[in-house]
Amino acid sequence: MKNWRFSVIKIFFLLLVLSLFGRLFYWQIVNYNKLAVAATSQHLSTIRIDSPRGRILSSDGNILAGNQKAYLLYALIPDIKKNLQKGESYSEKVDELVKQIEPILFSETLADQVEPEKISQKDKETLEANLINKLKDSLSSENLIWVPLFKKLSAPGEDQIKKLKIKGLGFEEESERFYPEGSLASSLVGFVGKDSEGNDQGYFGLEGFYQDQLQGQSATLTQEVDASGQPILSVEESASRPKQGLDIETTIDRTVQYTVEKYLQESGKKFGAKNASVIVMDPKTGAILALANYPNYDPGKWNQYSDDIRKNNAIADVYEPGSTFKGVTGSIAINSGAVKPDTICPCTGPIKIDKYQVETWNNKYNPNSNMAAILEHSDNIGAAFWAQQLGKDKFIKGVKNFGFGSLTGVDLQGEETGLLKARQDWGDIDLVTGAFGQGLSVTALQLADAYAVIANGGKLMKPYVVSKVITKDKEIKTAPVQVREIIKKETAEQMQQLLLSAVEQGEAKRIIPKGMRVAGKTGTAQIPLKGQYDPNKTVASFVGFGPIEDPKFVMVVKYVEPKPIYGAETAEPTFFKIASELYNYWGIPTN
Amino acid sequence: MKIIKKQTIKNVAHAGTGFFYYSKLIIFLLILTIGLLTARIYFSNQLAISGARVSYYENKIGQLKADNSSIENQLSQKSSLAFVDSKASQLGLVKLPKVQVVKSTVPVALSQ
Repeated sequence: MKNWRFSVIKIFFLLLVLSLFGRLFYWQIVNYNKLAVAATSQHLSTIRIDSPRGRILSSDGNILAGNQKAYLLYALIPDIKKNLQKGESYSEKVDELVKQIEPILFSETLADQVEPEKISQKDKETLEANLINKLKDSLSSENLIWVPLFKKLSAPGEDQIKKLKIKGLGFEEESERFYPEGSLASSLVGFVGKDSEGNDQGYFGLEGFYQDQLQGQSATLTQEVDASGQPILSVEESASRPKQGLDIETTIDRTVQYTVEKYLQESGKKFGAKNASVIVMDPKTGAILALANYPNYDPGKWNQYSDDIRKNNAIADVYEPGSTFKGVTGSIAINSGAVKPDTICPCTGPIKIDKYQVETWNNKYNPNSNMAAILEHSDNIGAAFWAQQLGKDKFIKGVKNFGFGSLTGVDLQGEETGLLKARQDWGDIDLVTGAFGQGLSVTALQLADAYAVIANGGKLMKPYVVSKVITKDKEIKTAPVQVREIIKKETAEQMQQLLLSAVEQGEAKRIIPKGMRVAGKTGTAQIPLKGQYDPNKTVASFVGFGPIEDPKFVMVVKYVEPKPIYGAETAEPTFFKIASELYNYWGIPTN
Repeated sequence: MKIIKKQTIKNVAHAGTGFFYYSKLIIFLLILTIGLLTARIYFSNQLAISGARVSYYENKIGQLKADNSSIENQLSQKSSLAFVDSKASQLGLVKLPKVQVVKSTVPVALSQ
């Protein structure tokens, strides 16, 4: 009897020990991963240390591109299912939920459109229907746990949805680019989209060029927490290192930029131009003070514009410069000693080269013209005469020396080199047409930089936009870079006077504001299409600098396919409207 | 015999001094240890519960940073030239038709 009882107790304890081992096996081996995660989440807390993208500032320290808080609205489907009313189906719950949040999300969608006040009622209804369908589709993915519903929700929008107290909806904080000046300097600033991994990525302009400096890298901090979730300070923390996005300060003068954009948008519309660009630059340093394109875009709504509009045409659109190039040809010719300002060109009539006949733009000829007269009449025959005096080698070398055919090195994404034929491909006709800016292509920035050489006494400066990179504890300043000296100071001074007379005695002398002494040159270049020039489609431009006594700015104005087609009727008036404002703004006295 | 007695008395006297000395030291060390342990427990406890305070201040800093950024954005929006231009028009401000810039090489008032 005693043995029997003893055996039962032994078996009981054996089973107890076995069940204990079994339970331990279940916890330690079978359920290890789940429990390890649960334990970690109980005593460790991971917080995100945000490192926002650096800001882009104008020269007066105002924000051109900053950051603002935005939210990702998501749904936790199991939580929504948990909160179904008695007899309510999941699809009914989804309908009700969408009905509640849709008006708030629709107003956000509408605000994100280009010119929302101009959207027709029909288009609004379509937008709303698309939003409802999208929300319902996302919430119908019943096999998923977490579904994103709406990205870049504004802080007031988040607040409104929070007030609805809908169980199963949550918000994830994210940072969004913010452009307080709207479309101002959009071509310069660029925009921020996403890369293939969903990270912020700058495109075009400064956002693209300075991606590495601007990009911040968020980090995580892991710390031990107590039962109430509060951090325990006596326990060591581990953190990955965040990288701070750096602020950059630009050379952009907000007032100049605003003035330029205002006149460019007005005139671009007025002349019905396909596109247009203006660059204002400091000729002594190469600092870009303003750069604008027509049409422009709002970088905060970048995805609603086509690539053509987002492209920075001032640096990426190559075109034949036409007569504006005569200033470059004249400089090369004087500098090499091939001609002098008083050298007389016979200029009696058209020139015949091979099968081609070169004429003046108005078929009028001005025999025995000196350089000033050639520029005043924008005489193609005269410019061709200078190039012929130079010869191919000197002309090509001079053009390359001025920076044509290569990048200026400006710190903006998307710059093009322009088109300059290889030496062996230059025929006699190319030398003649090249003299007045046909058969070669340039960018507006290259032309501005070339005229800056004449304005500053002969030095080719590297154009730049960023004046400072601001780190946490220091400022790294950008010094102006002189690429090379191209022409002698005397040549530059002679060309300044010649270009001054080209403006004062030129086709559009009536429109020059009284007392304003600006040197420059108009250009009207027909656009080559299928091997032929279209006489009704032109690139009309004007490039000049002022005041002549001590040039403070060099400016290029360029219209593509304007009506009227001539530079003197389109680009030159715009140039002088902007120049008048600049004279007032900088307090430059007129004579 | 005398010599032995003397030595014994000496040793006993020496032993007496050592006992008091060590017992005092032990008591002192004991009190010190207990004191340090208590202090350690107290400070560890303080440190552990101050996490809540730190967390509160961290949240507060985060909130202030967010407010600061929001105010900065509002300020830059309100001082944007497009906004100032439209506000100026609303207020009826007009642009001067002509601005004359005067060189100041000669003083405006030469003498009283």
